[in-house]
Amino acid sequence: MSPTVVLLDDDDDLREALVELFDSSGCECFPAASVEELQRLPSRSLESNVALLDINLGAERQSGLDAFRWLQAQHFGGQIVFLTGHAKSHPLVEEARRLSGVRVMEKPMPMDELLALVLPTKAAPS
Amino acid sequence: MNLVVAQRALRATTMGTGLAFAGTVLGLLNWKDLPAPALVPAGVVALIVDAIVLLSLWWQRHTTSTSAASVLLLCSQVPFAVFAWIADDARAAQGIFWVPYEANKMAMLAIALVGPPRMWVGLAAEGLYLGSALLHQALFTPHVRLHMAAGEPWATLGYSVIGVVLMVFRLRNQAMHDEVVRLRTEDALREKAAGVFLAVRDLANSPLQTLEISVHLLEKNRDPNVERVTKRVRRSVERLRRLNQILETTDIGAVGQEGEASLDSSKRLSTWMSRSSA
Repeated sequence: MSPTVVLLDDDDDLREALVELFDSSGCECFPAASVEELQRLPSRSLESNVALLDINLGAERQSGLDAFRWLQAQHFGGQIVFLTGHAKSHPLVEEARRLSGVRVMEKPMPMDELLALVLPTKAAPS
Repeated sequence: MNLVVAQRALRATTMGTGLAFAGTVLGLLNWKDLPAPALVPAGVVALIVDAIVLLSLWWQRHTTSTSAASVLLLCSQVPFAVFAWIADDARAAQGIFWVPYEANKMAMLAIALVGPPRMWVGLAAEGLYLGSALLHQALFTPHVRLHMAAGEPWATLGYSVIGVVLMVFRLRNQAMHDEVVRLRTEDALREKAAGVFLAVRDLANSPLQTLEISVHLLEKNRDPNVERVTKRVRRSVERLRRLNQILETTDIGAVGQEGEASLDSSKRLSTWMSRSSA
């Protein structure tokens, strides 16, 4: 059974590139651009192995932390990884770092580390 | 900072010259009955010099330098010292009991309190008043000294010491204040630069990640033409990544200090830029 990933990022190009990357690595991907979109994903997306969440989803919009809380409320069983392009010192990033059971990774991530997040048992393709 | 120091020097010289002008006017009024034909001309010359100095200061109010203000301050003090000398001479000639060097003592304290632009200017002015008093004391005959208030020239020397101590204290305080202002300004600039770098990083990180992934996907293509282009893009991505790492070192918590919960970096960046250009 191929690994599955829930992907939340408001950057269209990055989301598209990530979907292509994971697809090419044999992962099934459930992309969403906002928390609202995430909530509309098929219910089987909640059975994914990994949720990759961007923290900043735009000013005055729900953040990745809201997505995290929603996933927890839905009893999401997979690993949750925050992928942020923002400074460690930002309050929301600091809040994410204080959460237990999550990882906070910084963009841009090297390919091998990025693929290892969703394919932990598989070697990253060259 | 140089501009601030020059403006401070301008104000000190204006005040010092103004006080010399006022002192000369008071002297002329107070000592008008003294038997000294040179007193009025000396007073008038002092007033004219002071007026010229004040006009020069007004003329150079936007362009003055600390050195120019320093020289002008000394220029305004010399005629007042001459005026005080003539007044003391005249009072000594009266042959009655008197307190000498009053104008010198007042001037030494005034110079210290006004805060000369530079230490050497203050010391030169203090030296001028003390030196003229000591020289005068040496030139007075024993008969004249008998009519002086007791304790001279030690009293004048005491005023001089107090003046110098006050001046050093004042100038050191000023230097400390300047240093604090300089450090605060540097901190504010550093914080602002860090904020700008942070916003630039925030905006650049997602596109950089997109480029990384796209290059990775392109590298799977074995077409030699595509490969050449891909390698070029890969090198550029690496350079951008290095730049990003350099900017990362400037993260001093600028976002947190601003207390912004919103993460709109474009808005933050344009706000900072518009503040800079304002």
